[in-house]
Parts: sequence; structure tokens; C-alpha cells
Amino acid sequence: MEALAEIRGLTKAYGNTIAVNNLNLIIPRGRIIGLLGPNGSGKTTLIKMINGLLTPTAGSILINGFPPGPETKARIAYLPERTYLQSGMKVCDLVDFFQDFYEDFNRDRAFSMLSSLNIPFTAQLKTLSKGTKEKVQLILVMSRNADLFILDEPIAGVDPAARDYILKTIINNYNENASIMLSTHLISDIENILDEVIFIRDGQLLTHMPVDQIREQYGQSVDAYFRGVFAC
Amino acid sequence: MLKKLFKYEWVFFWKVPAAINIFLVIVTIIGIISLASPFWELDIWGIDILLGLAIFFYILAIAACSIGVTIYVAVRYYKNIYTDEGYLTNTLPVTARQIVLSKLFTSLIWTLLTGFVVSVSVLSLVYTAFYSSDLKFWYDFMRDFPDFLQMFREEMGISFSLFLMLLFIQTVLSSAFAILKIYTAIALGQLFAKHKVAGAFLWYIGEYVVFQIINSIISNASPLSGGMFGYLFGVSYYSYNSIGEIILPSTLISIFTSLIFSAALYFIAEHMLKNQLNLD
Repeated sequence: MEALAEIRGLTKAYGNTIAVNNLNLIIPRGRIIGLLGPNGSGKTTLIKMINGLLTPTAGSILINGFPPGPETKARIAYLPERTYLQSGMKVCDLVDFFQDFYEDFNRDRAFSMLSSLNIPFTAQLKTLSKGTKEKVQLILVMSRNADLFILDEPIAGVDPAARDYILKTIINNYNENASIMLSTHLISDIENILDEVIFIRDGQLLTHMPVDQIREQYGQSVDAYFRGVFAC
Repeated sequence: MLKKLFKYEWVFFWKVPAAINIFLVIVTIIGIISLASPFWELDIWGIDILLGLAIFFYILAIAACSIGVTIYVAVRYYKNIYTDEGYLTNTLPVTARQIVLSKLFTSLIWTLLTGFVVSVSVLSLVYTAFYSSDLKFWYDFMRDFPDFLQMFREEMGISFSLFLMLLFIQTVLSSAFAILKIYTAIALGQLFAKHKVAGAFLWYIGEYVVFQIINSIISNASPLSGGMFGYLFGVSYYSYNSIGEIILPSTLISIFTSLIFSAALYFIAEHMLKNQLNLD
């Protein structure tokens, strides 16, 4: 099966600081991939470049054969690590908004997930807690039938019960032709759902391999392997 | 997609400028009621000072409303594209052109509407202050209006309706130009590694200076304005027979330059969003 995304020689520099350095990566279809690395390793920079929020200094990104643009944005569902929704909007208005702009958005799925988390449809976003806002964002993103889901720290700010729900949501709501790229520090919480891991250090690709291979080859969990690789 | 963007931009945008315009209408109504009252005719000490203060605060209110809408145009553009909200705006499956145009249309409509409300407010107060006691005002106005139209055509060389149309086009284009100056300054401010808002202010001042220089070169180069080039070529205010021969070409030059400047600024704003986006 052809690759979902191809990244070649990708570099992002901020003055003399290089955040992503000549990175080459192929993202296959139908996989849940953990994008892992210590703070400042370049994970979010890479994610932002894939989503067209940062302009690369050099290199190329192709998603379904297109560089980041309207065509790729229609096929990528992105959850940033910050609240990007306008706080004055009601939850139901946000659902309308997503439905208006994303052809692959499933309204029924969104309302079903909102109901199961007891999030009132008519509540204004600014009246909700930070954790609930994050859940609303995740629900909106996961209610799409995108080709690539990119979730930047999706479980960092929520309680363990919500964390389980989120992970369940992620597993249940993607199809086998889609891939999910998850960036997180909470490796032990997510490693059971991962198919592959990408380790990044200093903006460079350190490892990209299936989780099973890590377990077989090194006899360690991903979490333990990560701690070994990135030991301070 | 442009239609959808415009719809949502309108929904998110309208509340603040609508509140500002409602405030203007209230201030105008209070002004009309106040001016129409016999209070100002009383012969008491300090009434002139009070009237002066009232006019001062009215002008202040009008200026604050106009500036308020302009500031809101800038804040909305910056916040929705270059802050956290930009993570959604810039990941929608739309082009940079559609984003800029949807915001430009919305801002333009509210800027023009505010300008219209300000004009109506000033005219209403002037009418109340000077002409409302003249019971024959509207009768005289209607009676003399055809003569005015005739005189206007003779003096200007074009009909009054055509002149109004040109004036409207000029107003629309100069408003678009003013908005695009803000958009471009915000976009170029993003080139600064830190203090991007301060950077946008600097770019705005830079743009203002550059366009002032270009405008003064154009007006001096034009014999129509009576500038130095006009004198050099032996044509100036004084060599024309009617005011229309000066105002009409000046209006056309203003329309043309606003169009060119706006197009240039628009392409910079779009280019920056399409090819130089770097969200923090």
C-alpha cells in the first residue's frame, strides 16, 4: 500500500536554532503511531509543518501526494496541544462549524460522543472546564473520517478516567486506511494501542519501528526503551 | 468555501461593531434631543462652555467609535489567524485567499457602515442645530434641488449621480486600502522572532510613511493638483476653468492609486499567509 505521507529532508530553523534537522520519514496507512521524544526534540514543530502551520526552511512534505494546503487539510484531522476553538461558541455551533467545513465530519458520531460524556450541547465553550474543552476538541477531531489523525498531547490535561475514554475513542473511531499519529510524554498510558513508534531527538529521526519489534528485539516495553534511549 | 468563511466571519465579527454603532445612534439621538431643546437659548453663565464641552465630547465619541472599529478589525484579524485560534483557521480546507477575502469583506462592510452612521449622525446634528427651526427648509431644498443638479453638471461636467457613484467607489477603495494596510502590517509583523505585535506597529508606521511619500510624489507629479510638476508644465489650479476639471481627475487618480495600493497590499497579506506562516 502506498505511503500516506512522505517527508524528505525536512528542516526547520529559527535563526541559529535548528528545531527539525533533515528529517526523512514515511507514514504508512492503517497504523497508530507514537511520536515520542523529550521536550524540545521537535515533535510539535514536525506536526505543525505537516499541518501547514509552519513553513519549512528546507525539504518537502507530501500527504496523499499533495504538499500541505487545502487538499491535505481536508484529509488531516489535527488536535493541537492548545485550545483553538473560539470561546464564545456553543458546543452545537462548533459541531455545525466542523460539519460546514469538513466533508468527512460525522455529526451523529459527534453528538453521540458528547452525550456519552454528558457535555451539554448548548453550553458555551467558555463556561466549560479546561478538561471538558479538551474533550470537546478531541470529539470534534475524532468525529471526522480523515486519512491522517494527528493528535498532539491528547491526554496530557485530562484525568485518568477521561484518558481511558479518549484512548477508547481513538481506537474506535478510525478506519483501517487511516493512520493516527500521537505525540505524548505519557508513553505507558498509550503504548498498548500503538503499532509503531517514532523517536525524535534534536530534530532528527532516531528510531522508527514497530512496537512489537522493540519488545522482541530489546525485551522491553516502549516506555522502558524510551527511558533507556533518552536517559539524562 | 468562501461563502461559508464569510458567514462565520460575519457571525463572529458583528457584535462589537454593532454595539459601537448602536452607541453612536444613541449619542446622536441624545444630541438631537439636546440641541432641539430651548435650554441652549437660555441666557445663563457658562452655557457657551457647556455647549463647547458637549461638542468636544461628541467629536471624541465619534472619533472613538471610528477608531474602535478599526482596532477591532486589527484585533480580530490578528487573533483569528496568528494566535491559538489560528490553529483552527489555518487548518481549515480553504485557501489563504479565501481567508483574507472573507475577513476583508466583513471588515469593509462594517467600516463603511460605521462611516455611514457617523456621516448621518453629523448631518443630523448640523440640521438640528441650524435648520430645524426653518420650517421651509425641506420645501426650499426640494424646490432648489433641480437647479442644484443643473448647476452641478455645468460646473463639474458630470451628473451629480455619477459623481456620487465615483465618491462611493473612492470611499470603498480607500476603506479597503486602510484595512489592507492593517492586515499587511500584522502579517509582516510575524517576521519578527519576538514582539510580533510591536513589529506589526512598526510595519504599520513604515507603510504609512511610504504611502505618504508616494502620495505626495503623485500629487506633485500631477498637474491637476497644482503641484510643482504642474507649475513646471504650466498647468495648475489657475489654468482651469471650473472646479470640476480639478476635482474629477483628482477623484479618478485617487480611485486608481487606492486600487493599485490595495492590490499590492492584498498580495503581500495573502503571500505571507500562504507561504510564510509560522505560528508560535
